[in-house]
Amino acid sequence: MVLSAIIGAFSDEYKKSPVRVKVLDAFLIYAVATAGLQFAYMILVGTFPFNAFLAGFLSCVGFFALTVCLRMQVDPANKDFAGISPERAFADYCLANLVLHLVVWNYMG
Amino acid sequence: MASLRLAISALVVQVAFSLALAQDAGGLVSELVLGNVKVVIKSMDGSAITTLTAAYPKPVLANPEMPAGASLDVTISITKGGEVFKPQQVMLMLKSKSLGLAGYAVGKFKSGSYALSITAAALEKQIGKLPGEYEVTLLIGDPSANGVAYVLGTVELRISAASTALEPTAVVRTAFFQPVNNLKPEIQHVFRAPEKRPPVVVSYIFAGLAFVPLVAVLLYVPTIAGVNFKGWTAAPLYSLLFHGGLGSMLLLYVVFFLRLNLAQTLPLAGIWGLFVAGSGYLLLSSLSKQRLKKDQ
Repeated sequence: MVLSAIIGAFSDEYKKSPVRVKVLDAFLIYAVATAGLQFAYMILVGTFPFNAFLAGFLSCVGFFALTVCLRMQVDPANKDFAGISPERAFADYCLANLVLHLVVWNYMG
Repeated sequence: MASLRLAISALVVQVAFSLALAQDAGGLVSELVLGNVKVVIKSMDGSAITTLTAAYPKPVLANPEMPAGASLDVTISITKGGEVFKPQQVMLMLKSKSLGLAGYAVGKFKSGSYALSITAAALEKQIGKLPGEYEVTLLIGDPSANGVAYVLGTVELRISAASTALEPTAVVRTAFFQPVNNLKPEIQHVFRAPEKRPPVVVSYIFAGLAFVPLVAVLLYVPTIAGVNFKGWTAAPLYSLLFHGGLGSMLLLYVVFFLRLNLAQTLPLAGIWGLFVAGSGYLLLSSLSKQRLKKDQ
């Protein structure tokens, strides 16, 4: 009973968040799901080749971290990042993602 | 004038040098003369059992028996060019006929001649307990003369019953004799076993499953209320350039994964990254200008 009330209140509040935040949240869930899948595969069949597992897993985790940063900076309710415009945050996000994925593809081998 | 003097002095030095060399070369490699060869087999108490004299290069020993505790003594005088000569190496070698193992005794120079002596005990210390027939050779070596290997003949060696020496181990045996039962086992190289891999089907299934979240996101995001592409219409050229640039950057990554190495990719990525950064800057600054205008 209480749980459903909590969930109901949360979803009502969540619907009020800006569109950008909701889109980023979707990508966050996507990153977590992919990371979880890779982890489950690793548990099932072992870590060989380890560099490939690390590359894939850490690309998801890194992407997740970068998207969380972008979400924090873009969310208008977050007053800590008032000095950074959303465009600047997005530019940083793009650059960081490009670097991350280059490193990931190089490490994957 | 000075050059002529220099030439003459150089010539003089050359002549002197060659003369000296010629003098030395005359005695560079010469023959050793061995004389007064005497071989004595002495028993344990010092009395001589057998005494033989020889003339180099004829052998002298005809396989006499050396009882336990006996010693084989050889005296020899060595001369070169008429003078008594002390070569660098004077040794007596006893080589076993059954196994090819050899023991050595070093000669001592005493009053004009060399004395060499070897006993079964000394041989035991070197190669272990190995009775049997031994070939006796006198080895004389020196850099200024031709070496001499004077085969004196063979002796039959007897080991005393009280000896506690070990028989020659397999390690000591030379490659000259290699009994078949002594060969070490052949090493079969074992290559590293490849890692255990799962069946291909499992890998493909998980690869397919990994795309499911991506598909889910691509299907879900357009359904969010408020999602639009208005940003594209706000600055169409810059949007096209920027997104096209980003897409080709990712294409470069794919090509890097398939064909190139990092040294080739990094410069390309750097240059293209500048273009993407420039177009992105133009796009984002125009978007932010519009946003600020709207907010005002």
